[in-house]
Amino acid sequence: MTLLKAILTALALVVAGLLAGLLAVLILRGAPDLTLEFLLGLPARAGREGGIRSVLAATAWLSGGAMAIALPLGLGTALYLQEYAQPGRAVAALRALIEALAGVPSIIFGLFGFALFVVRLGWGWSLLSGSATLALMLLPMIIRTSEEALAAVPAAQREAAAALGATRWQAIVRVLVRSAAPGILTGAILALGRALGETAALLLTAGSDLAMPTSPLDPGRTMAVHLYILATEGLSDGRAYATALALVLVVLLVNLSANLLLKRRAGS
Amino acid sequence: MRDLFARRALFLSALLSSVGVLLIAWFVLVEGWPALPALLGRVWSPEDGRFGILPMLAGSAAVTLGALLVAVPAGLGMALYLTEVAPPWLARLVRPLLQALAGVPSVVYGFVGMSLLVPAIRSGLGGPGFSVLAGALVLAVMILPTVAAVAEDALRALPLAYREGAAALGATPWQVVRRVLLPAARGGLVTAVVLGMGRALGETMAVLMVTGNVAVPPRSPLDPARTLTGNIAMEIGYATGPHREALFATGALLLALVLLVNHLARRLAR
Amino acid sequence: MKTKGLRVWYGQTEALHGIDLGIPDRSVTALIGPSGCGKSTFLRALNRMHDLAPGVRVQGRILLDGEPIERMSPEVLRCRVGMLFQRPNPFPMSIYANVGFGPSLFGVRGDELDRIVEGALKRAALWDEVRRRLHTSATALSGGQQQRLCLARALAMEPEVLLMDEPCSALDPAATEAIEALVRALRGQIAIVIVTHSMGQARRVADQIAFFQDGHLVESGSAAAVLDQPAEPATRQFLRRVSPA
Repeated sequence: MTLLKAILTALALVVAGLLAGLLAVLILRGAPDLTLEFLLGLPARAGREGGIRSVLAATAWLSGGAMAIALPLGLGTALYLQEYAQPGRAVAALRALIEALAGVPSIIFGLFGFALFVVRLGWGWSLLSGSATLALMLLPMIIRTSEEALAAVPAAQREAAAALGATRWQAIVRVLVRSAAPGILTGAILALGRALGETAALLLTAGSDLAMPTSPLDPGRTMAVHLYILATEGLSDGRAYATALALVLVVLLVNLSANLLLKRRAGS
Repeated sequence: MRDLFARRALFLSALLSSVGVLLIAWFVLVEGWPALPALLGRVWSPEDGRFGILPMLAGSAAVTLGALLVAVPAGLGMALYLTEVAPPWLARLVRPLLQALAGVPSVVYGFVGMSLLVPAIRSGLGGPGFSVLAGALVLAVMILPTVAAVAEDALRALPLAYREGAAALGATPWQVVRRVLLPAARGGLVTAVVLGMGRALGETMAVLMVTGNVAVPPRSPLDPARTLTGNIAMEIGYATGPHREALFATGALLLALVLLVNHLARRLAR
Repeated sequence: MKTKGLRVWYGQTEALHGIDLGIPDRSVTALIGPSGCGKSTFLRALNRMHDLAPGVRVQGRILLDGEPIERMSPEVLRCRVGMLFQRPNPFPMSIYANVGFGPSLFGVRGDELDRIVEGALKRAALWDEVRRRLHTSATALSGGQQQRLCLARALAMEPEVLLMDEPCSALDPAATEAIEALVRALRGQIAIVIVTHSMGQARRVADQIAFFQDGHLVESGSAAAVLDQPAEPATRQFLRRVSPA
């Protein structure tokens, strides 16, 4: 093996080791505290004790809310761009703007969400503000993957639908979207993974209250934010690791299922 | 009839999506506009009404540069490994590993950095541990997958004929890489670096958790620092009046910077 | 060069079944045969190009001037045995950089490199056409010029043997004629092994011909003998099917 091969292989091993090491540390230090009581119990003493039930709930609400907004909006945009838009300067501008949205740093989303949803619209630090902000962050990703999925549907299928007398809209819903569904779903799952990891923007829009949220206008703390607070305020090492482990496991699981779905689609 | 309604609705969604970035830019600018000139100072001290962002510019620059110094060779190396060294079955296993690294939330990186890396630097190299070095290393791990993926695409696009032609002339594998492949893929590789830089500049949480809290320009890699993003995240919770305006102004500046960098990356890609 | 019992496997499939063939110096040896008969596989074994492809196994002895090539480093071997490919493959660099690529790997630069580049381009009959634009991009040249450029690039290494894998298949008739003329001109200086699909080409340039079929060397001998009075029935059948062009 030449020197070049040896160096590059060593590098690959280091990188693989990084991921393995990360997981190992989290498991070793977090698994002891990652118990059922931890997951189902409510936090106590600002998180020093107790579990993360309210945190899990807030995470679910915020991600779910964000997806509920971003998925229809993103899919609609993708459908428009693929099916109705005439190629030209206007559409190119639309695409450029959406691409620009993809590059905005998360803290800026937080600032925007704070200025618009929390203050201007008066929603305060709430699940609503958080979901809306998060939805904006996920939008470019969902649009991109949905467009790819739609574009991959063979023209033959559209022709067949038209030949059978379907109107544009019927053809779209019954044939196109159904065909592209796995791809669209994959994109949605990947976006979910991203949403779960988001911290900065939610800190500024959903607040950091540990109480169990009971209405959309209640604030909430997600797993990522909880980890941040536990860590930076030094509240509980064990629980921090457990939260981190839970978070990473969920994210890896989500990404894994997305990839499996992708592979199944590619194979079929 | 349904068709017309549908078409209008879809157009509306597209419009809303594209207007998003404009709205963001607008709001951030409006809230921060008055404070923009104040950013030109050299000292950040809100209690004294001084909002110069030089210390944070220095902090962001130092951490980003450090991250690129590590992530670009490493990312390029990974890309070369995947295209030139690894047999296809192994490459198929390693690539998802890189993707998994990219999927780990930044706050987790920050947390592990805080718990493990910072004490290690403190005991091994001195200083408070919370440092530019810690920030650069954590950031490097986070942008590595981006750099590697774009670089790999660039290398994979090169025709096999280049490799064969160079080998047939007696070039060693390293010579083939250095003399033919890297120069030929230059455009894509530069794009990879620029995209990595864009991601590094926009990153908030991980760097915030490991670089310490000092709003003073760092003078060595072991000094603590504060980045533009970290500054906003840390103080926005309690800032009022001109202080808040200054933070929004910083946000506007940051947004402009990142959008510019990404635009540059796209131009280079063509 | 000489091969003894050369066998090559692509994975589990044996593509060459024990080839014994001698390549005499200072002459042109043409390899002919139907598609997929193993001519290119044989050619690529001579400069160990198969080392670059995963899953390819080579067995048997290949000798360059009596020396087994497995004992040499592949880079040194390829300095002595050059190759011209089916499709011209200039690097995305200037004409000068392309031709000078090989020598520059060994640190040759400056006036010495200038001389080598000029010499190689002259040998490839390309010098007059490009002398005034040596530092412009090589990819701007026509197909025929690019192939001559690749020839110059290979010749800059001063190889003892030159392997050509259907070098004219991507070229128009005029360019083909130019390459064939060059092969004839080089014939007295180095050993050339050329894979060709055209019997006309084989007749025009070759001193020796080797006929391959299904991974076997069916017949070899002087060009005139093989083309006009083939000893093997398989050869006769093949020649009858292929129209001379």
